[in-house]
Amino acid sequence: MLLACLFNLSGCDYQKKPPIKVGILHSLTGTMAISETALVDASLMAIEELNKRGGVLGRKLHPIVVDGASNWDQFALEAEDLITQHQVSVIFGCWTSACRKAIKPVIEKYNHILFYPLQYEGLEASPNIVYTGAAPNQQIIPSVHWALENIGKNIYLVGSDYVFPRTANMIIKDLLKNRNISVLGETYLPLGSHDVAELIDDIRLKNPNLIINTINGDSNVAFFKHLPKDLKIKVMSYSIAETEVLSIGTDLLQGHYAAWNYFQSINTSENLEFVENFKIKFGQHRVIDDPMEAAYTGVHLWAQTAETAGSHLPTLVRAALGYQSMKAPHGVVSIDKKSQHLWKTVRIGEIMADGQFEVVWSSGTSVRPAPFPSTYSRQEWLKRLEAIESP
Amino acid sequence: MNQYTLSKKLFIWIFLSAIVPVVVLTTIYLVSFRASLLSQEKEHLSQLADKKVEQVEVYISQRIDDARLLSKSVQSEQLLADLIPLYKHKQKQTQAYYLKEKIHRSFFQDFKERGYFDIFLISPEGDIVFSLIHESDFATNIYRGEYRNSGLGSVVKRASYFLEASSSSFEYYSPSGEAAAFVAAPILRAGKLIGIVALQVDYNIIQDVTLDLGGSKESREVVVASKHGNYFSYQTRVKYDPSIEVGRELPIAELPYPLYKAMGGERSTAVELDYRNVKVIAASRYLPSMHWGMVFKEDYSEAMQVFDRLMYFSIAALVSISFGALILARYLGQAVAKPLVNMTKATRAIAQGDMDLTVELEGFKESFELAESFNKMSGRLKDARNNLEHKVIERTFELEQEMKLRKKNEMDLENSYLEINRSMLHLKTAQDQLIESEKMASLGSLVAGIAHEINTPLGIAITSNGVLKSTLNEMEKDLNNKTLTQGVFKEHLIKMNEIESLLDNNLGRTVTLVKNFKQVAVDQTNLHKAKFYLFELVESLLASLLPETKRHPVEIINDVRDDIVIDSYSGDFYQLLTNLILNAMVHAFEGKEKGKLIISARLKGDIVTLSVSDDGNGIPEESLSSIFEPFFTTRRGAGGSGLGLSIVHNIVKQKLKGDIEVHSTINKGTEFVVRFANSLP
Repeated sequence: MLLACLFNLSGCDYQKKPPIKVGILHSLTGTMAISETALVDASLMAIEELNKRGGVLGRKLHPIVVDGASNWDQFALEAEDLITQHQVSVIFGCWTSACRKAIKPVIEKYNHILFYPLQYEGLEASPNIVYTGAAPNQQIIPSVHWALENIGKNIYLVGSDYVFPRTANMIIKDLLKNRNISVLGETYLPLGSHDVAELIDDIRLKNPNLIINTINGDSNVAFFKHLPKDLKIKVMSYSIAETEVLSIGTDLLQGHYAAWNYFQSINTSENLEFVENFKIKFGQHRVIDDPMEAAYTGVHLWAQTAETAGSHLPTLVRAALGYQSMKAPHGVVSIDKKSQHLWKTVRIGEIMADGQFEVVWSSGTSVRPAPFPSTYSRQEWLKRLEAIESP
Repeated sequence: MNQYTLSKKLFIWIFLSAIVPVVVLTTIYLVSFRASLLSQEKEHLSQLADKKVEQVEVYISQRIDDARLLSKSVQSEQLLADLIPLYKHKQKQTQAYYLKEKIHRSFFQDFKERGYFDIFLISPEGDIVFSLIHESDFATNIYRGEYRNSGLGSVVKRASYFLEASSSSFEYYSPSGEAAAFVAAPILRAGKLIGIVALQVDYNIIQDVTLDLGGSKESREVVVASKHGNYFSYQTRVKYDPSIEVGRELPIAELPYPLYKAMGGERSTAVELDYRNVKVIAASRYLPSMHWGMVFKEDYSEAMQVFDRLMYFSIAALVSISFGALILARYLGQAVAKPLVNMTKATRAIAQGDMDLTVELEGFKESFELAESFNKMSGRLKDARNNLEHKVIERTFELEQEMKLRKKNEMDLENSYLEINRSMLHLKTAQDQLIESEKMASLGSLVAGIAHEINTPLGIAITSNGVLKSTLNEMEKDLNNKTLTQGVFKEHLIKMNEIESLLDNNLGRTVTLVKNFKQVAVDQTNLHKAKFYLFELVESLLASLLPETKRHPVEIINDVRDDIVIDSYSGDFYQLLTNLILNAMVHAFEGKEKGKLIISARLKGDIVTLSVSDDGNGIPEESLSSIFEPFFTTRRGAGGSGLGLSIVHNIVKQKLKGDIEVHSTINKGTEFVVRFANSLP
């Protein structure tokens, strides 16, 4: 009896608590698989670190990884399944905005919570989503300014034909208007297309010194391959990170730029440790890019929020999201209460011969997220977005 | 434990059974209470910290909203439109300027009351074209001028770069000569930047926000700091060190750990050391809009005050309880022990001989009853003792009498014993004598037998000698008469051969008889141990006994196995077998026309089984048990001494160390079975 009191009073719980189930929803097959499977790896590494420390709220985390198969309808079904059948407490998932928009209604329907790790075009702030990737003002906008100052003012816009590139370019054009600069050209390639002949001809014709590139996927290979070297054009890309550099090849990309919050080459002790742990777990040949770091950070932020909330239930976790801060590998992040985006540091990197990025500019401290740039009101933005999505 | 008094024992028992468990339980409760108190305080502090973070962020947010509001206001737009053309860079402004400025001033002056030190309006090129307080920053260019690296410069740059409102933390701002923080917002019209509005936040106002703690804990404090490169600066006044200036750059090495964690974005609530090196419960938080690290802390000792008080009280209570237990044990012990002590004294006195002593009846019921019983017992003891004394005297007298009687009996017994011993000796002597005489007698009869036997062949020999003599006379006569023809000579020769043959036989017989007798006689008195074949011994004995045995119509068969060797006194065997055989002759075959006597022997291992059996009259059952008794005979009148079988029995038992049995059936026969070791050690 004495011992029973002892145990009770000292708070020891000798019953084994059941694990907390968390959902990881990415494309394990299909065109997005190459990019998304790396996110699964980063998320699982974060979960393993948490479990080693004793889990969350004294319970181990049990990851349930499901395949969206690069199909947005499939993603929506799997999301629903995760919530209703598996009863996960949180979903970490998606890459493309189309994917996110497909599962957003499901997440909101069940009042659940999704951590979305990709930089995106903004113009969204769901109370059920935590956006751990960059908002336009944390990637696109600063980099355009820097490019205008440091590369040139003859700009050509090129991108894949879907919502993100179109919205991004819309925002960019707003910026340029303020500088009294007009774009020399704006071309969109169908997703997955390798037919760049027309585009290259147009580039030759317009002769820009700066190309803002929002092409996604392997169209980038064709684009960079056929890009005329003699024209001395520098490209600022928003969808090329360490992973894409590996597959496209440094010989095509060297000397060009990308804007992210995270680069594997960031020289802080936190990042060095993070990179080493990842390589030990997954192999020395692997690289880490911004979405992976954002996915990893998202898992840790969720765990920390659950501990603060004292519960793993989505509604209670969401209530405790505000001002959750941590030292992510790329720097200090903090969840902005209103928008549920992160304060993130902005960086611009130049692609080096070894496939890594050299940081040429950093915002120094973290930048407040503004998913709706204040150039227009929220309503105006949504109207403009609508115009893009359904022309 | 027997050396300890009752008081001590009681104290130990009370201590062990009551106080020790209480101490243990109390410790357990205290420990867990402390743990839960600490966790409760931490939780409380954590919640307060979160609230404070919210409060500050909301405050900053409001400042930013103010900036945004201003950026959207018509007044800002108009002011810029009016003043930018009139603005003179780094010079005293013109009259026209001031006239225009005056129109707009009041609006911004009112706005200042919201808690701003100064409000700036800046052209897209970076010129500070308007300021409420014309400090040295007025009319400079914020991108290129001397204040471009100030807080104002950074927020304006950000606002124009990112087209978003931006805030800075408190830094020393030289135009104002004190710490200042700034909020700026881009002024956009139709997506185009027409200027920037900046607010200089009143340091004191924010101080009130951060320092507003509420609550009862005196030691509570909010410390806020921000980092710049290798330095950090406190953003609020520090409670316990008023010498620290807000915004003054201090080396990173001096950064207290909780603040370090907070600025690094780490969210924690833990027990740590603050900037005074005092143990505190510190909740570390990060404030993104100012890039501040905030520590909401209270002194650990204050937090645990309740516990400390409880602990001291518990210790005091336990000590006094222990003391009380000591006193109680002492009192109880003495109360219980007193009657016992008295009783002990009384017992000692009684033991010394004071039989009339009684114990006082006192104390609690049990001791009262004990004293009563004790007294009763003591009285009985006294009586019993008296009784005992009388009894002892009586008994001693009785015992003395008995002793005398016993002694007499003993003497008699001793005499009888001596008598018996003497008789035994006489008897033994008589027995030995009898055996000797029997031996002599048998030897005598043996000699008589032999003599008788020898007479016969000797007689024949003598007769034959006589015939020879007469034949020789006849021959001589014939020779003299010249009538000795060949035929007559042949007749004489034949006769003489016949005589010779007779002589030969009978003399031979005589020799054999003498030899046999010698053998038996020697053997009978032979006292040397030797190895001999039993068969041969029996053979020679039978031969020597022939004079006697041939008188009876009995066939004697020597069925002894001829490989049996015995290492013993052959004389004993002669005697033994002689007696058995002669006995059988006399008793078994009396009145019988014919009979058989078989002497057989077998050897098994070391044991010889010798059997002398006859098919004679048998021995009646009533006599069987007595036949080995000395002097037992059924032929006393006819010359039997009754010693034969007893001698046999003695020889078997004492000389051969063996056993003898007799089996008999009337008119069927008798068997004597002797078992003995084939070699005597």
